[in-house]
Amino acid sequence: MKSLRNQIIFIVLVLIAWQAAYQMEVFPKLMFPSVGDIFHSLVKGFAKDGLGSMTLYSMSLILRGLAIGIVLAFVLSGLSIISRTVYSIYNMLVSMCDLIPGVALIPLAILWMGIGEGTIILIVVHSILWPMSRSIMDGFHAVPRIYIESGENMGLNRVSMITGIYIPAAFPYILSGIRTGWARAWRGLISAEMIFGTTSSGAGIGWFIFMRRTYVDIAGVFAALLVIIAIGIVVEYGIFSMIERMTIRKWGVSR
Amino acid sequence: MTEKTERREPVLEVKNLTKTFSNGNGAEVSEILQGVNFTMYPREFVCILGPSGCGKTTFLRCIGGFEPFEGEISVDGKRVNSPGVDRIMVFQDFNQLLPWKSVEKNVQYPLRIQGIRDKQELQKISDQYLEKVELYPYRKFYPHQLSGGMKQRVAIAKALAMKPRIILMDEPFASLDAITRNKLQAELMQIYQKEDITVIFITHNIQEAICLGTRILVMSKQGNIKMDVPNRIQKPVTPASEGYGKMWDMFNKALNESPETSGQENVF
Repeated sequence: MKSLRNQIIFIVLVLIAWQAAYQMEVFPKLMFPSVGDIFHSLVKGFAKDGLGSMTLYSMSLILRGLAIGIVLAFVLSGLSIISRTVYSIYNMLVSMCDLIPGVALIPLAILWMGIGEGTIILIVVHSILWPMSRSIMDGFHAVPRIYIESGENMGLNRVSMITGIYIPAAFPYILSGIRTGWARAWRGLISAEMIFGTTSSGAGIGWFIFMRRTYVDIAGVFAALLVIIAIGIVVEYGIFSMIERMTIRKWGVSR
Repeated sequence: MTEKTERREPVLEVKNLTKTFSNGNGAEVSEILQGVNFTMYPREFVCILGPSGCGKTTFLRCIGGFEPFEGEISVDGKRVNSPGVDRIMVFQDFNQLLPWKSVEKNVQYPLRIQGIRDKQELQKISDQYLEKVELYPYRKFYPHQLSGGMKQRVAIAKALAMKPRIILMDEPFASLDAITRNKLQAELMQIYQKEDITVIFITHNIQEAICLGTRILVMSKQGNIKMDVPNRIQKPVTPASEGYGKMWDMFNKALNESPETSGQENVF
């Protein structure tokens, strides 16, 4: 409770400082909207400019990308535990691909796949897959030997070894990998949306930000950023913290 | 089955077991176990005593199938070289329980892997064995909520529930305080007297070996069995038991006298 109070105090202080900077015209008013302007833009965005549906659209893309990315990361990292050959190749692949920003792939993706949902999802999957695989593989390699030997002793086969020992034992790593993947997914998604504009099936938050900028509606840009922040907070405190409480905290492997 | 007929078929046979460790580049090779031969019969409780570094843990790990080795190890006449459910290991490390499973799930999980799917049956078995180690009230706890001694008792319950041919114990009580250790020794002795189990128990504690073992082996620093004696002292053994002092002296001498190695010890 105390930490929640401190967090709220911090946010209120930031808002006050923001408003003060606005009032004192530290920056040009056109570039630096007031707290009230941003709030109005937020309301207006949802009421008139379709920010709500764009948010939902972005969410649907990100969830699909996340689902594909997480499944792929688990399967490929799992295979790399079973086979040393797969490990050596996949480890190299992760090292190579993790460095390529999703945005850098967009021109290629557009040329090859056109402007569509598939392309955006591909970018999202790319943003998630490599960092997540890195975390999962690191986690797998950090599994204490005694759990593996216990598992062998119980007669676990290779697959049940992964689901029964490696995944739960590496869970702190996996959770941090999913967090990183989730954050990277947003980055990939927003950049793709900004460059793409709209696809045949809809437009997302990235496009909203891009359009607001075109109209020099800086308050609108901030409103969209607030939406992303709000989603981040809900997911962090609603989902990730809950998973953490139900797993690694309950198991006593994390404080 | 009478004890006599049972005794004819060894449960474990180790022939010419040799284990070498190289220091990485393969040039220097040190022999940890030198052609160890050992035969064990059902219902025996074999305690292996030895100074640290004599290879007793390595010996047990070879039997468990956790180490590659030269020679031959057979359980019930069948060659083994990888871990199996017929030889369940109880480690010294308190962290051998799976932290993401509750106490009872830790006991049930290996049974489920062995194909027992019926939830009621699993529950019955885990309740029964947790009762034996007096941890039934803690069945819903997670390992991190237990003390070291309790964790070891769960590990023992888990091993018993699997009904292996041999239970391999690698100094399971070595990291416990003396009071807890004595209590667990007594508990294990009671379990041994009631259950049909065969145990190899590694220890460096003479008192522990005499209290628990029906047969006591002493390993030398060179990695071979230099003493193999039956322990006929009536259980439960206390320091006041007849013959205890004599036995203690004998093992103490055997562990401390190693003139052949005195020169070698400083090499490493």
